[in-house]
Amino acid sequence: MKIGNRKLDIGNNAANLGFAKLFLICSLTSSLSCRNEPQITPAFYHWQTQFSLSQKEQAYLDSLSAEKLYTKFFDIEWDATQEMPIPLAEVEIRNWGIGELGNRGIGSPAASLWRPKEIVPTIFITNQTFQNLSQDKIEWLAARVDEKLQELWHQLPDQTLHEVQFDCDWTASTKDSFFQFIEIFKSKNTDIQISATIRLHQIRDYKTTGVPPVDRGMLMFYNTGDVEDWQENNSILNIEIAQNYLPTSNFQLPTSKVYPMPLDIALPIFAWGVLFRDGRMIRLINNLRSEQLTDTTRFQKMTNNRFEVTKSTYLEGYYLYQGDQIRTETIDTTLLHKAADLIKNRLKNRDLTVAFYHLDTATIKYFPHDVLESVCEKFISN
Amino acid sequence: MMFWSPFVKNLLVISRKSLVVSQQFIIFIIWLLPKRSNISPSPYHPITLFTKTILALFIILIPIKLSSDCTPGNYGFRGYSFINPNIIDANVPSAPLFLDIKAIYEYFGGQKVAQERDNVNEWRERYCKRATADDIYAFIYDTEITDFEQLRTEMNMSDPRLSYPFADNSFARYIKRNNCVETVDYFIYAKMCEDYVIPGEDPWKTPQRDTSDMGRLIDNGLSLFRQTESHYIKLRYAYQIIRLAHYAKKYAQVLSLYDFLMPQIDFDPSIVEYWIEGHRAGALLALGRNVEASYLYSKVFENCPSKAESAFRSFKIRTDEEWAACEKLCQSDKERATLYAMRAEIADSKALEEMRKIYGLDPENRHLEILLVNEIRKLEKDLLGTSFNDEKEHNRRLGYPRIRAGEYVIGLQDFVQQVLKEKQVARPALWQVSLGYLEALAGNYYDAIHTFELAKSQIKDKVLRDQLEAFELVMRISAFTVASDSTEQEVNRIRQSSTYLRYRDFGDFISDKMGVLYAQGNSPGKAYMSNYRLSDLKVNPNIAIIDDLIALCRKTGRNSLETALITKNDGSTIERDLINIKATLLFSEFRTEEALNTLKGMDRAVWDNFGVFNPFIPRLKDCVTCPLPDTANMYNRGELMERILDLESLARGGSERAVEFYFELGIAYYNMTYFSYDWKAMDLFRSGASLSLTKLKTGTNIVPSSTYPLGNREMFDCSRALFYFEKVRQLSTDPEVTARATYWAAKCERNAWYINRVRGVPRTYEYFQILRDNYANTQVYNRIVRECKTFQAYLAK
Repeated sequence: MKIGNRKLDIGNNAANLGFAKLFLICSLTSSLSCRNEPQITPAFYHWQTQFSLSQKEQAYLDSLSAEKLYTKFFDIEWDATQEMPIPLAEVEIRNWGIGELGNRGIGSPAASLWRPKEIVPTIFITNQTFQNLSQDKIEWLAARVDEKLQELWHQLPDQTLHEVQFDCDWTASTKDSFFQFIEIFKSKNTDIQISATIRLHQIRDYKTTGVPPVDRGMLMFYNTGDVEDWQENNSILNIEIAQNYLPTSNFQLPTSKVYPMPLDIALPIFAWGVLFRDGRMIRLINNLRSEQLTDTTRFQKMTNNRFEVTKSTYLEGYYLYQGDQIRTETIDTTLLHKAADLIKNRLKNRDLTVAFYHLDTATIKYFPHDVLESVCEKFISN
Repeated sequence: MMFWSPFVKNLLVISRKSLVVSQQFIIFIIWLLPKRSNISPSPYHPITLFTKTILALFIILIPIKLSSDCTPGNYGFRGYSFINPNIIDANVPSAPLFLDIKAIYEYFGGQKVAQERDNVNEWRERYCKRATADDIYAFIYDTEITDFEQLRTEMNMSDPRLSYPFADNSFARYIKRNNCVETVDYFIYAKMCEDYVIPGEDPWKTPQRDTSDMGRLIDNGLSLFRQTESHYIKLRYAYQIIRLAHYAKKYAQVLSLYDFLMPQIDFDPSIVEYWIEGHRAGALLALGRNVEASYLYSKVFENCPSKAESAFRSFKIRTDEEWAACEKLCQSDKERATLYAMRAEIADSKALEEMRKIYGLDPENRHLEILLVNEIRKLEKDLLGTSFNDEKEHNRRLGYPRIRAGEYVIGLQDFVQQVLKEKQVARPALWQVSLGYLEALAGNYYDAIHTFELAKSQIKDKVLRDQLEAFELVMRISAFTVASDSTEQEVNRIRQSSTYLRYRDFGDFISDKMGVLYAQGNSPGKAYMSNYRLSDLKVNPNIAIIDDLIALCRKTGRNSLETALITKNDGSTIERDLINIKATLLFSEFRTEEALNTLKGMDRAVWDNFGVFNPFIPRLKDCVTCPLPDTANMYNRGELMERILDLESLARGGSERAVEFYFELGIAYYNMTYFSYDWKAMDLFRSGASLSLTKLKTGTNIVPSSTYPLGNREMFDCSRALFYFEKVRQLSTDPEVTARATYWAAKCERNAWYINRVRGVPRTYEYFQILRDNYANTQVYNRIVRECKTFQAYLAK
């Protein structure tokens, strides 16, 4: 059994102890009996435009022996005015582990921080892009994406491109265009692995929505609830609803298990507030948690995670009006474990990447590394 | 939603009055199309000047009416709106951005268009209007730096003529005539800056901005600034220099350049000043000084329409403390009111709260009217015709009506009444008309009538008077309670009024309203024809609706509206079509005698007009499109019914040929189902997609259709055919005949499974088993084995 590829520097980093312990136990077990046990690769998503890892974030990644960082490089949206797909929100690479730390020298405190083993550029493409893109322009788009990717990739020093991931909520009506796009992109990049994000509905309905021609899929195991319904308790991860997306097939196997592609798994660790005005969901406020709504001069607690605005006020850059309602949604250890328990036996492949969405200083303080380690362990004990 | 009916639709006259603004926008867009693309290879081909001109001319000829359809931000809402965009001053910065009226946005154009237009206008003003706007545009935007350098050389020559491209350009000639050397030098400098500040045409290419080159250009600009005497040209240099520093991300330098340059310039009010302030605000924002930045953005928003959109999007206040600090920076209540106007324009704001604050600070503020009209448009979605809108379920899924719309309309009315009482707003008549419409939307017609009467005495301009008439008409239609003869006559008068014809949504509004009233008044036919077409009825017929419409066709003394409902383009009524639809429906329900009697309601001589058939030909393989042989005798629907009735009578009468007749009947009934070639005898519309599991989920023979909102009734029923094949099997002593009937019965068994498989019913093969076990020695059996692959597969299993 193996968790990641990294050699752990136990002596230099106390934060590694938990994971090192796990590594040792597994290594021992491995040498005795479980040579065919699954290989789990911990990873994170970085979904901000500015790629600038703080020291806290680097230390956190290091403590988890995170092997991969799926980094959003740019979005592609359909521009109705120009009637063409355009790139948006290109990543701005400001500093990152090896680029900045490389000059600090061995022995400096920062030298022990995380250095990325693998950056996986991730490109988000709106489904609308493929709804509007005509057949004869797919090759053109693949060429533009390839050029843009290379342009941004070369801003990263000393990195080898192993994998590119495409994130697109394609549907039955757009699958042909999206899949053709992938095929063309692959033909231009034969030496790298291509992966695609897979939504739960794409697993359930794979016979109609199709299976993308990629090497691996990343199952996004979140956003399962109905965020627009005030009665919903946690739209980020509603285990009961998620179960419905993994029904058994005619062969009495979960659809995820008959899905004809190896799957990795992305689990949520983010939080947000869902803002309702006059009974309608109007906005998501990222990284909002209940403890930020304790000012009773402005907010009144209705239930555990529901609040009412009692005085019009600014919150996290948004102006809220008296009478607005907020539902805070977070993920805790129990939920993450339940999610891991639900999915672990429903994957055909045993070796997989477990990616946490997403890396953010505001988020990681709520998830000590041992919590995420324990989630990864769930997949080991498959 | 549907129009009133195809017949009424034809009566609509297109109004030219409403065309202008939409067309202007489309023409703008055409001119905006890229002249050339740097994308290589690019599938987006350049559009030539000639093509643009042709397209623009073509668009001018397209008639468009005032309508709520397709407005930006509707998100699929399907309802009505009767706001005339011309009641708004389109020059208020927030009007094109936030009014949610397509025509206003289109009039304004995008920010790039607006900035170019403002720039051209300002140059024109500064040069005493001695050049045309088109020439100034061409001079600035259709030229290269070499053109200006050549012009600069020609400035020193005595020959007054100018060479290409300025030979016929009035602006260039003016510059030459007046020896405006500083102006030409400035344009040369501006062209040098363009590469660093104008985004490329290819959004996939990252602009390469060499900051050291930009630094040298800034130094060059400063030198030129010092040498220039004209304060207006100095202002232009200051803009170019500050913009370069901003784009080079030298934010501190932007501020120091501003402080250094601006005090040296003595200029009259100019849009360039606000362009400069926009860059200064951008630098402040980048430096984290977002309160000062937001204050500057609010000034740009208020004073510079061509930069209003970007100023609004960059306005960033994050906390209550920042808001208070921003308010403190404001120099007047008018400036403070602008802050509230910007906050009110944020999507989903509670604009009434902000309107009260704006009004308290600056009652004549121009944004108030925009906000008022915008709120009324939102309330139209919540309250207008919600009881009779035939798309209300669709709108409910989109969140309309909003939960507290009732409270909100009352709150808005209170505010408008307060405003009218205090008489401080710029255009009280607009507020008076709006109050009446709000009262009408709230269902308070009594007060609305009174308010509209008061408004009439205050209105001076025609546009507002037209708007008032439209609102009054909305109220009159909304107030209908029964579909009486007098109501119908009034509807007919309304349909001919100029106000009705000016607003496209009146067609839907009145037809939806009458549709509900007809349904309540037990007039299902009229209700149906208010919202649907005769072709919809053919697809999913309903006896009650058909009977009601037939009665209407036969009614003497119909009023005009009733006549319009049942009259075809050729002037005849739809009676025969209705009779045919009804007879076909009854026939498909195996009520053949009733069907025939219905058909006899029209002259036998015209029966042939509704199709001819021959379902008596047995075909081993089902084929819905295969033609019949030329030799086949054809029956019209009435003759076919008569033949069926004859055969049934003969067979039941104990004829020696009963087995033959029963088989013939079985074949006919089979061939008239969905599964065979003569389906048209019993159904007027068939969709090949109807057998998909999704369509069959209803569990009935009415399958959903994207084209026909009430669904598509299919003739799936093979039970009568099976009944007759069973009769053959019971009575026949000839194994060949029995084998044949058994095979056809197997087809009926299979078709039943097709329909029921959606419920998980397993497929059975009872008749195949009978064939295999009992008739393997017949010739029919051998032919079936040869030709029927399903049977081959069954045997193989």
